[in-house]
Amino acid sequence: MQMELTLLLAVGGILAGGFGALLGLGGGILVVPLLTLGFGLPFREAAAISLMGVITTSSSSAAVYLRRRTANLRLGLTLELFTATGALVGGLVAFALSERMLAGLMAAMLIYTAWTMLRRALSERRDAAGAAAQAPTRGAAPAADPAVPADPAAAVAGADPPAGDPPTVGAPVSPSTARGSYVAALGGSDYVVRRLPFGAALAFAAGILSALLGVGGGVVQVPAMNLVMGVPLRVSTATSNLMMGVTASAGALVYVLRGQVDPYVAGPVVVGVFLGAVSTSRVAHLVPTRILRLLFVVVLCYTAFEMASRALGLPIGPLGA
Amino acid sequence: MPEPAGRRPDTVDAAARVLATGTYVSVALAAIGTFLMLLAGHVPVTQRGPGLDLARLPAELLGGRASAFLWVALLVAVLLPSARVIVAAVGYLREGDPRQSRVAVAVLCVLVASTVIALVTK
Repeated sequence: MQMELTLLLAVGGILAGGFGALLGLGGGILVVPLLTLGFGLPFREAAAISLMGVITTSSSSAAVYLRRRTANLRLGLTLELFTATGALVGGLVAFALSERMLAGLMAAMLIYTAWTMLRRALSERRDAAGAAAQAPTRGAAPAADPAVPADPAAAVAGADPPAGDPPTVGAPVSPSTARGSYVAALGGSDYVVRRLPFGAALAFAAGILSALLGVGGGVVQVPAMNLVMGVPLRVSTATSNLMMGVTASAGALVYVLRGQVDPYVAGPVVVGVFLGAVSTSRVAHLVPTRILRLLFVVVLCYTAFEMASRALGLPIGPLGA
Repeated sequence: MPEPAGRRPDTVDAAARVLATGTYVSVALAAIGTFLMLLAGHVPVTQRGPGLDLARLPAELLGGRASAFLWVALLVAVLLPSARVIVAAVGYLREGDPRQSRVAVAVLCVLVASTVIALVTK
């Protein structure tokens, strides 16, 4: 019994971390349903343990993105000010909300994630069909990189930033106009950061979401940086990953100090999520992710249904039994 | 200013080193703690682990208690992003960018506020 439960927790963590890395999701979106529906843990405990997994995977991948200069440390630090504040608020609000309310919010989050994954899978299919149709007329033109997601909302937590040069967004930075401006200093060599106040507001919202539901918040953060602030998708994804650590730790501190973390559950899950994320990222290019993504949409929808049932107080299926 | 492509400022590399090293330490401690938990016959989920007691943690760690290893692993994980922010604050100050350093200090203040508020409202 003891060995089986420990192994189940570790394997669950491996699957959550592995699927997260394959599909560009943070482990949090999977760990919370696993622990609440699969192991019957209270939502807040599951969210707290999930945040531990999020911090671990974020720290390991952020180290790589920083070394490769894909993540923008200056921009990340600036936005962390708002995500961490949001996480502090979210961590406190989580204790004021009922388990059913939290389950309902999680169900909505799962449906939104399933929707972004479905759109991504469909856009990949369109891109592949378009490339195949144009292939005879293009001659030696290179095919579109399937690793580049067409939908920024889909390039969420834990995703490996798309390969290749970051797309140039916004006007090039002019040293004469940029000098002395804090916002200009946050940009990169070929992009400028726009609408920082709006981006900061969204970062605050991402922080609340992260602490409330035990997720990374990349599902809000990446589109906010890419679409609102004009940061290239590759940089947005990597910077969001970097920020996730601070965001999750602000929320996790509240949970740890309030005694919501069970070390006997957190240990195997954290080890599993880390092993799953690290090992899967090495073989991700061998897996047909489009088909996997479509299958996973079904899994997410089913989990959302279970969560919604719990939120509404209805009899729940085998996962929640 | 943003890090120029050709130059590798120490701050970014130092932050990367802290994150990588800390993650491996944290996961290794969690793995040891899980192994000790199995040896000691503790059953996760059905049997709740002991809460965090900072005063007793060093002695329990030396005594090879599973929960102590697990708590240290979790604390390292939780404090790792803060360590990265401290490295950034010091690094940007050394690079002559006090404004960016102040932003990092402000992030640390929010994290400290999280701790204080969690303790006060416990």
